[in-house]
Formats: sequence, structure tokens, C-alpha cells
Amino acid sequence: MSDWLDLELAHRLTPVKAPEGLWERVARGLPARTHRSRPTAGWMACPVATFATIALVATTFWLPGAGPARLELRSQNPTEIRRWVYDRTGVEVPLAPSANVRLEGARMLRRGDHPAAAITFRAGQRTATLLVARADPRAALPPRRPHATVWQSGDQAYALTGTASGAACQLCHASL
Amino acid sequence: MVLERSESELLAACRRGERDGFRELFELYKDKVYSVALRFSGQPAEAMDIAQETFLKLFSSLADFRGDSRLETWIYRLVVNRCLDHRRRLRRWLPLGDSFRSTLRANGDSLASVLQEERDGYVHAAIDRLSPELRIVVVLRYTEAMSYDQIAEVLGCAPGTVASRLHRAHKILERSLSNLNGGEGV
Repeated sequence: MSDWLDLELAHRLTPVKAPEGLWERVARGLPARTHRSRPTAGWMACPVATFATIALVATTFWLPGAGPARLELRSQNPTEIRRWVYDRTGVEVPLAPSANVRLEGARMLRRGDHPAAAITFRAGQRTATLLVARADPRAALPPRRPHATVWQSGDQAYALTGTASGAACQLCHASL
Repeated sequence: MVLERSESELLAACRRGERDGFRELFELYKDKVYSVALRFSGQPAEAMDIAQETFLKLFSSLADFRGDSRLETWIYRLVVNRCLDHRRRLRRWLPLGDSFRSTLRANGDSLASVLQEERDGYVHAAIDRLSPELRIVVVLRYTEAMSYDQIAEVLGCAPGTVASRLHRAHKILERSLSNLNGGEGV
């Protein structure tokens, strides 16, 4: 190899300092909690926004035929998905093995300060996505949406979209 | 930031979900990760995306790190994979002409500065025309000053493959950048 090229590359490809703002960007994507305890701050501040977020995401990004976006975690293991979702959202989804439902994976939805997770699954040839997020248990139940069913259980909000939504109960209640 | 804990202590802290521990780990590797991302992508905004995704992936998968390789090697693998994923998804570099015109518009400094930018543009455009597999080898070699063995460990290939890819990259770059050495043009 020519010396001039070696020098040119060494000169042009020198290491650089990371920008100051990088940590802020990384920190925004980290789970809200810092330990294994369930998160208590943040989500309580704006329950309406949490519901609005999950309903909006459900009705705009999971329109019929649009299909789920790229999964960050591909797994059929309920325990792995459960832990992955909990680590990122603080939401405990009691996924259980089911003969009728096959899990495909999960991804994070980051809309402002309200992290939600999308769990994709199949029942036969049909696919559906369950969105989960923390919510204030005192919040009013949101209205039914045209392409999604949105509901709340305790301090967790759920939205369900897709053609296999009828099988969603079996994600957590395999005996149904 | 003062780093007070050993790498194994930091890993243990991160696995417990301690954000401070992860911040320390971030401080240790942020420049390496960002440098690889920037030199590979050529664009600060894309490099920020890649670096952010790399650290989020690192945080979420620390539990999977079994110590089979050095932590540094593992982190390099993460950023390399993010780089390659990004390049598959995103647009390629601006054509050199557009890049050069942008430079002229944005930079009112001396002619020397503009010419320097142009030279940078030639080199980066030539590097960008390399296939991702060749380009990442060049970046790891020149930005991170890695040996062939280290690059091979990060990429999961044989050192001979690294040597071969680097040789091919040099040949291509020699041809496309010959004008910088007074030879025939780009």
C-alpha cells in the first residue's frame, strides 16, 4: 500500500470526542426505574397523556394491513419477553405459554416520557399486537377506537390491534 | 467524571439496574463508540443515532454478556452491528457535488479551509463508496488503531480475511484518490 494513502487515512479517520449531548439522548431511552422496584414517578404525572399515547399509537401505527414495525426483541419465550418489557417499561405482563398463541417478539415505543411496549403474536395465520404502558389507575377509561381496543387493568393500560386480537386473552390466560 | 470502579464492578452495578454504574461505563466507551459510528457513517446526526442505539442495546443486553470475550470487544461488536444495520436502512451519503456546495454555502472562511473541506469530502466519499464490509475494516484499523487479530475478533472472522479486505479497500481507495497524490483524477 502507498504511504500517502496510509497517511491520508490515518489523518482523515482520527478518533473524535463524543458530543456532550450524547448521554442525554442515551438517558432518555433508558428505563425510568434505576432498580428492580417498580417505577413510581413520571407515569403518574400525566395519565391522560399515557392513554392518549397508547391509543394514538394503536390507531395510527397499527392500522389494519400496516403490520407491526421492526421488532427489537425476537423471541417466542414468554419469560424472556416478560422480563424484556418489564426492564424497559416497568410493566408486568404475565405472559404464559399457550398452545394457541405464538409470540413473535417485542419492541419499545418511545413517545415523550411515556414508554410503552408492543408485543407481537400470532394465532394461526393472523397477527396482532398488544401495546402496554403504565397508567394512573384513577384515570378515566378511554373511548373505544376504530382499529384498537384500549382498556386498563389496575395501573396498566393496554391496547390491542390486529386480526388475531380475539386470541389476546390467551397471552396471559392460557386456560381460556 | 472520575472512574472509581473496576470494569467487573461496573458490570455488576449495571446488571442491578444502577444508572450511575451505566453512566460510568458510558464515559469509558463513549468516544470509541461515537468515533466508529462517525467515521463509518460520515454524518454526525447518523453517528449520534448509532451511538445512542449502541448504548441502549448495551444496557438492555448486559445480562447476556458472559465474559467469553473482553467487554471492549463486545461493545465494538455492538457498534459495528448498529453501523451495518443503519447503512442498510438509511440513504447513502450526499453526492460529492452537493456536499461540496453545502460546504461552500456554510463556510465563509478562507479558501484554504474550503479546499481542506473538499479534500475531506473526496476521502470520505471514496470511503463511503466502499462496501460496508470493507469500510468497517478500514474504520477499525485507522480510527481505533486495531490489529488484524483484534478486528478479526470483533467481526468474527479470520485475521486473513481482515488482511484481504483491507488490501482490497486500499486498492480501491488508491485508484479513487489518486488525484490527491498528483495522479489521475477521481
